[in-house]
Amino acid sequence: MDSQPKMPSGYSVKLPSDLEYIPPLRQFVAEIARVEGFSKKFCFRTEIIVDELVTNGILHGSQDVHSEITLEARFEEGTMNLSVQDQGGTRQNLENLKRAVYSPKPPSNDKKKGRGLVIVQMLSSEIKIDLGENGQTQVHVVKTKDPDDSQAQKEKLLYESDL
Amino acid sequence: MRISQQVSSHDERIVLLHFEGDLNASDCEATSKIFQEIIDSKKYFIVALMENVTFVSSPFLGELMGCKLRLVEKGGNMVIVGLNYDLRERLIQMGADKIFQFYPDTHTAYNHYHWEYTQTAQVVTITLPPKLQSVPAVRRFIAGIAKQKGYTARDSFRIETIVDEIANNAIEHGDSTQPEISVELRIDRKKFELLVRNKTLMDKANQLKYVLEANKETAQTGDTRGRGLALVKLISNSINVSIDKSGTEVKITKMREDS
Repeated sequence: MDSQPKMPSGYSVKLPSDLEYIPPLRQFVAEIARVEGFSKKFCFRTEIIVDELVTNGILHGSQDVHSEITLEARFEEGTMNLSVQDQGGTRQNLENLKRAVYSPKPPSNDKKKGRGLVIVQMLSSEIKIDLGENGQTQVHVVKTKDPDDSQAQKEKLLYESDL
Repeated sequence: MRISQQVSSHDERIVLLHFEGDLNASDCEATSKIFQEIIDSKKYFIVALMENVTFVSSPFLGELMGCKLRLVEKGGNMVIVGLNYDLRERLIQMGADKIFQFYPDTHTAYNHYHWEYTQTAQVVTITLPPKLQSVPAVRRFIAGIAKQKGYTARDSFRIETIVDEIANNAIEHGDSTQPEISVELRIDRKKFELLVRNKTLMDKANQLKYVLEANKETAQTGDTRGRGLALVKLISNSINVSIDKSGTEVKITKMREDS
């Protein structure tokens, strides 16, 4: 068991802008959230958030085949700070992203796309966008422990004993 | 049917063919002529864009298969992009998924092209806190990438074993004050390279180098530990260790078994 004092844990992953990487990446982030003491429900929701943000980054941000996506996850007591950075898409893509984040509105029933960020909003505590100096887009999500996460520490101990 | 073509701005060896409407038997002849013109112009990679296609008849599918065969003979390929769900299901029922790769968008098709034909390695870099509990997630992540990229289950399992051993060593034997360790994966169609960097106390790092270079195991009879690196040597193709004041870097290369 970890006997060290609780310090923030930071993880980062830089990977090619390729949809094939998303399934293992989202499972990785969910698994490290579990290691950091969050509940199964929290981790499953994190998996959905990662899937959505990274898919958006690949399809609308890092569109060049040689470009990359960077994901950072930082865990502090009861809070996960997640950020996904892409190389920056077109002005229209950025406008669409801002609209989806700052004035979310579910699309009409006949639209096939546009629900992802609405779901991310529902599953997270805070979401914001930063623009880098070289045009990169960074989406930050803060997700705090759910009120019914009191069992998480107990589950963590059971999980560690299984490893 | 409407059909238009353009050379990809991404790579001039790739031709994008936009199809629209119903692709009927009566369209085969005109399409065959277009395919032949493309092949005659020495362009052997075609991305068939079918976002706006509403129907594909079996004779037309046969025409696409014939074209793909001609391209493959020339060392090229044809992939299909943007099929809607219903059409994709119908083509799968017709067995087309055994002949063609289907991709949701051109970006993914280009990624496939680079992976298959340019032998460019893809790089993934992970930094993590030196916590042994994080290693299972890292090893499963990297093995998952290998599987996604078409490595066999046996290769992926061996890669998982290598990552587990090297990452555990980096944490367990590394400097206890190191803030993070770095794991870098370089993967292409033929080989997998793993680089693990950490801060190590010099005496431990030299011990590691001795174990590897002298081709000896640290374990004596009765010891329960120390066989990990011997196992890694068995299942990989090369191991290199470089040590300096900034830290230790272990580099493992493993060739893909079915390459």
